[in-house]
Amino acid sequence: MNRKIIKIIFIILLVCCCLPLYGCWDYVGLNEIGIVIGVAVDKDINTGNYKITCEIIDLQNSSKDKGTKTMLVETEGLSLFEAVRNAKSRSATKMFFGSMEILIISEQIAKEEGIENSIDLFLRDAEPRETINVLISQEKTAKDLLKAKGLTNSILSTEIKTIIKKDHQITSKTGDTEMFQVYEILSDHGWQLTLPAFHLVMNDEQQTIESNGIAIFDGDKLIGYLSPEDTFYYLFAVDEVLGGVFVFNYSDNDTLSLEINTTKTKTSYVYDKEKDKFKMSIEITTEAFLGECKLRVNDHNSDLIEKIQKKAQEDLSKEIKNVIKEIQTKYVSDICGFGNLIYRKDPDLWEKVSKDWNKYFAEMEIEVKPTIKIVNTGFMKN
Amino acid sequence: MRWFHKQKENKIQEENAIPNINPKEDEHEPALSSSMEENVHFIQILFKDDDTLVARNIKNRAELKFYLFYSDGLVNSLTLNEHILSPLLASQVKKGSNAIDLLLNHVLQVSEVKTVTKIKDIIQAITYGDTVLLVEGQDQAIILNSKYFFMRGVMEPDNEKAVSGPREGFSEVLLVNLSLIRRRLRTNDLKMKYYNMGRRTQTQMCICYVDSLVDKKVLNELYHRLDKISIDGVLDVNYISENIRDRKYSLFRETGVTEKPDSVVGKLLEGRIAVFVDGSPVVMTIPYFFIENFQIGDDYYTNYFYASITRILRITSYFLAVLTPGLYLALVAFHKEMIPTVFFLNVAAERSSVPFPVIIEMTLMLIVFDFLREAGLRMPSNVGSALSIVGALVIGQAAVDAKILDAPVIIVVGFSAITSLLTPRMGAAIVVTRFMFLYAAGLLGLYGFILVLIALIIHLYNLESFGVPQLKIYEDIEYQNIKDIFIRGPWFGMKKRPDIAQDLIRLKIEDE
Repeated sequence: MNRKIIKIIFIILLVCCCLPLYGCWDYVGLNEIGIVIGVAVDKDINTGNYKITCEIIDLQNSSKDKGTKTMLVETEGLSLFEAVRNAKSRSATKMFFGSMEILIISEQIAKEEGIENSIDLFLRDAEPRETINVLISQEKTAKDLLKAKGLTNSILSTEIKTIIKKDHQITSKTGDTEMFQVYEILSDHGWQLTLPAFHLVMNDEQQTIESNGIAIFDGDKLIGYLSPEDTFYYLFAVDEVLGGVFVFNYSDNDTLSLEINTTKTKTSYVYDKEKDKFKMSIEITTEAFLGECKLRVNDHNSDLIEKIQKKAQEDLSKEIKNVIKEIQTKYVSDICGFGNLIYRKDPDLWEKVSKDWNKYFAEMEIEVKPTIKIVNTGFMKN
Repeated sequence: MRWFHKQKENKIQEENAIPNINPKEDEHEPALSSSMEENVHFIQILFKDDDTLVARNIKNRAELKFYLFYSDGLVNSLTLNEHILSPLLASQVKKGSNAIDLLLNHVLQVSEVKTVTKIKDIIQAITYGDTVLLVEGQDQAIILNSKYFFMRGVMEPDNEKAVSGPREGFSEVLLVNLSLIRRRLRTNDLKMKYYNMGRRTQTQMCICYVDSLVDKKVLNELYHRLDKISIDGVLDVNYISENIRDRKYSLFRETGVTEKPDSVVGKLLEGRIAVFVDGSPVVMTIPYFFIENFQIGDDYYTNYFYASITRILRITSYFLAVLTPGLYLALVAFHKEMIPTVFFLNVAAERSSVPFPVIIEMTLMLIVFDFLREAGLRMPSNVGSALSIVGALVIGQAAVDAKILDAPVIIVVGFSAITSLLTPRMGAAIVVTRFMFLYAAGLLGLYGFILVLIALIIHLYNLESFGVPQLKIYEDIEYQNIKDIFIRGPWFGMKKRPDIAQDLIRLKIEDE
């Protein structure tokens, strides 16, 4: 009995001994951290230092009534890692990257030294999520974007992330590429990277951000941009359309808008090699809703619908071909992933052509065969 | 792991061993002598300084002397006057060896009579409300049933309120309780064995079971364990159940308790044993499964879809009550990246102006909630509104406004508190394990949290109730095995009893 009591007391003492130890492992109180939401990376041309601008939550000035406020913390260092650590000499709190949502890279870094260096820290570090959205600033510095004011959200980084996601889903005028995808594409075969590009615009006499198409990369270096309109057709070609409106001229004074039903969109690729030339045919099947149209058309008017469908298919095919042609001739970077397609289906063939892939890609013959079916005209009385 | 796995040696008794009721029988106890004066004197010495003992001396028409003993207030005076006293006075029985037989057969108008010779039986009879009749020249005493107690009626128990189904509840009188069982189970297969417990209180217990269903091993084990106990007094069934459980230091229940006859009958029909204790409305049922913590009588009386949903709610509520404080602490203190960003920002904004670390806040709030709960139970009902004002306003709203506590902690603790109220039978298990999870999470984050969870599950799988595992692992999952676990299967699907019973077939439906 006595031994039993001693045993119990011993356990209680052991447990009590543990209590003061809590926090020795990874415990950081929420009031000791600065929560980083977005990061902009620039490079000082003169010194060669990286300049980092972090958007962090301003917990002191945030309140229930006023909402969340943010502030910018700027630091500098020879490497990104050093720069992040240097932030400690300015702010008392430890930077916490676990809730980071976007990483803005300046045009200059992307053009001159490539983006791989800039995303490396965030991929390697344990804290940041791999679903961070990476984007390119078309302004002079990446910091300029963070200085703007969001229209709907007081946290600009969250606003940018939402814009990218929603824009991709609703208009398909920008591509949503998260950090792990960036790394995947960079290390994959026959596939080049695209990232969303942002610039500043004036809205109601206030500067705000706007998505502006996508940036095209060769390797990890920026080589050019696609306009938002072209991006839509580009996404069609790579089967990434999640929604959007296809506008075309039916006749000289009739402009039609079709809303694409993405759940019914199917794209298939067939490639063919003839002598030294590749031929790629893309077949797109999709369903669409008639969104806006001056013509008097409803579901019973099948002849007219037939004609509209035909015209839409022709126009879509032409537009997609134009965009791919532009990529082939102007940028010569396989952002459509055609090379990857060959790599997956026929690795031996890819082995042979991979060295001169850019040449093959530039000479590739593209054929686009869209099939559009209008399933809903939005009933109107005839 | 020695602490967690202390194997107990439960020697289950041999199946055919005959249970020995009342083993403490002594051959050399004082008995009655043939002289009535001596006997009367002896009884009066035994009950010296007890003014409630009434001794009445009478003579019948044949001048035969009688002595009546009874305890005042325990007997029914109507029975005593009309059916015992007046026939005795009018009788013509003469002194002789057959006097007792004549009295029993021709005079006394009481249904339950017996003759005893031991002083011990006389004491018990007097203290239980019976009347003892001593006859001149006899070394035997007649015990006449004249019991009459005041008792509470058969009411609905407060902590097992039923929405539908039977509402009767047990009261404090053993015989009334047994009658409630017998009324529902009208078969000779229902056995009710008396068992005396308590050296001083001499409390009567009753062990009920359905003979053809009960597992004899469990029954023998119960007798075996009861025989080992010699306790001073038994005021409630808990005195017994804490002494005979398998793991005396476990937080979890190992014997079932209920106050409703319908649930006792339901358990008897599943091959369980019920133990009644005189003076307590609570009935113990064994063996006990872990899942019985979440089963209530209403489950079986309402639509099975609804019953299944509420049962799943009850099971999840237990885990939520135990796990949420620890989980929240682990996430906020160690794994911030796992919290959704917007929620995280709100929590961070709240926490930036609060003085204490989360773990201290959590501990404080949990203890305050336990204070409130206990106060709510014990206080007189007319000060109830004061408690809710203090609880809700002062501790909730004002503490947040004064920036002593942050709102998310109050929400988490409040949530944990509400969910813990869904399973009142788990009491200690919830309160204590909740703190264990909290401190493990505060110590090691999710890692510690998972460690305690694993330890908890190992412990649950180690629990036994009278040699029957509380959580059973089935090699093959059949519908009949799981029909009454997470869901309450429809009655047309309840074809088999739980396999603690002897006879497994419960329901047969003829094919048309």
